[in-house]
Amino acid sequence: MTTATATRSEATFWRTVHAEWIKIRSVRSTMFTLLFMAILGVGISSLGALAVRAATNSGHLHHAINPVTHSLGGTLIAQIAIGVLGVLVFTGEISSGTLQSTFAAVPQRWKVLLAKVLVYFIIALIASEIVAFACFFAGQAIMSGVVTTANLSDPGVLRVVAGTGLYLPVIGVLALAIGVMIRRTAGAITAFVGIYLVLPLLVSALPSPYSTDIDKFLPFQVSQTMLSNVPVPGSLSPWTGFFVVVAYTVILIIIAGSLLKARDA
Amino acid sequence: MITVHNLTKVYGETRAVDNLSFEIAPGRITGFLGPNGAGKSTTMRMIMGLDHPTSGAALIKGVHYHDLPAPLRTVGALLEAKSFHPGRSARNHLISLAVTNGLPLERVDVVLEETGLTSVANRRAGSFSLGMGQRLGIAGALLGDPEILLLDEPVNGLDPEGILWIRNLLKGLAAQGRTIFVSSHLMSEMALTADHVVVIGRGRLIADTEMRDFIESSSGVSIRVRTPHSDILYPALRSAGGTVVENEDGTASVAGLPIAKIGDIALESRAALHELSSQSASLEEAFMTMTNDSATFHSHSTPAKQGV
Repeated sequence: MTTATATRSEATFWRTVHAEWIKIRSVRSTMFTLLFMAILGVGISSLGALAVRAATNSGHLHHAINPVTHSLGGTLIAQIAIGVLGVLVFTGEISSGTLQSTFAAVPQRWKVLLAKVLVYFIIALIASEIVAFACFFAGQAIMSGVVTTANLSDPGVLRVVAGTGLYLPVIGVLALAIGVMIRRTAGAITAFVGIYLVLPLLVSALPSPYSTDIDKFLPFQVSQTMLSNVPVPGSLSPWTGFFVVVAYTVILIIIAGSLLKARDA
Repeated sequence: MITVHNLTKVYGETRAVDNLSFEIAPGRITGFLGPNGAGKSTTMRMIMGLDHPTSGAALIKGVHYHDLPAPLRTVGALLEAKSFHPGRSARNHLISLAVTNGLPLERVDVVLEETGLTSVANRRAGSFSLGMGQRLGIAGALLGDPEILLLDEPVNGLDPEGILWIRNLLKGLAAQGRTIFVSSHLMSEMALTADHVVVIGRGRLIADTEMRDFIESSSGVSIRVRTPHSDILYPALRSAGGTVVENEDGTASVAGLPIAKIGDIALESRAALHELSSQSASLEEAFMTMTNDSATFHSHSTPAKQGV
């Protein structure tokens, strides 16, 4: 029977983080999704590089290739995978009913949300950096001898590769927040893809000055600037863009946490 | 000790829980009875802090669930059959819960053993049968060795063996001095396990009483009497305040008088008794009569009145 040793047994933030770490690594789908993301990302980057190689060899490549940006093409697909996994971190708990056990153990919902965000951010960061560097090196290796390849020590290149790996987990956390707000997997993934890929298309249909003014603030356009070691015309600078997306994510987490606290579990 | 005070939950225009007040005393099994849709689960979820009351409060040992320093050490709950991820093993599910409240990891093995899940502890919980899933839920509830247990329809969907297991488990836990609050829509199940009963219908309190008294007063609704001297006995029972309904098989159902009083009246009026019995079947009937008006959903065909 309980002889409460309250000081030793409080559900602290770090204990909640520990529990979330156990939860995320004890489900096979986490590792499968990350592995899928890596294969898809590096695969598409390699295909892009092979296409450059083939076009150059047959004399069909008429425009200059930015070897850095080109090798990171696969990370655009990786963003979708990282977003889907971010959505599932929360909606998977709702659909399985696990959230009830989670809140019974840790009734402070903000604590649970922030623990999930931290654990997912770190896992996604490690996976994304690995994928970004793998895409870069695979792309350079395939294109070497055909076009002038880039080196990590070249100006801006490390920023682009490491920055892309840093940008992806932020998008993952943004998707996690959407999952908390919408609660259902299908709806949340649709909303994420909509904001990420469909919104830029709608904005581009607006009249000229408005479309570019709005477009540069959209996450997709920001991701384009992160991928380039040369300035992209009409866009925010890479780090300004990065912090704009971080700001969006923080705002969405605040809304998500408030909803999570106010709603019935 | 659980205290529910003027608890109300409104969904749109539906008052799922309507100004409910009761106390759950420690050290015994309290049954929480009501038809499906009466508001039992919603009440339990509000006690757990999962759903927010529209008004009123539910307190555990005087505080909100939210403010318990280590909730799993105080309250263990089985809320729905499935509250774990199908892709996670039973052991990992329990470890992740134990870690949050700083519980020693030996507790995981102890509760796996107690619930008979040791041999399947490393299997994905998604492969579990309904009964095994229920056992895993109970393992999670017992993890913090809590003094209070909340169980929402624990026998739902279980086979007879599983029902017996839960029944014995609850009795064993109550014998250790724990507070047990268990909901059911089956009166007969509660009559076997509960010491005290809280009955609700349409979110409102109908009864809050000792199970013994509840059974006695419910049984009093219909006591079966067989006598060759009906012309003497029936008027005597009626004048004593009883209601006598004559049945087709020559017996009578008497209501409004305790069984002992009927025997005494028969002796005084010198009427021979060939049968005098309170029927256990009437218990379920009494429960249905009591909650029928307040049942949100019920079939239009009322069950045939059983004579036995």
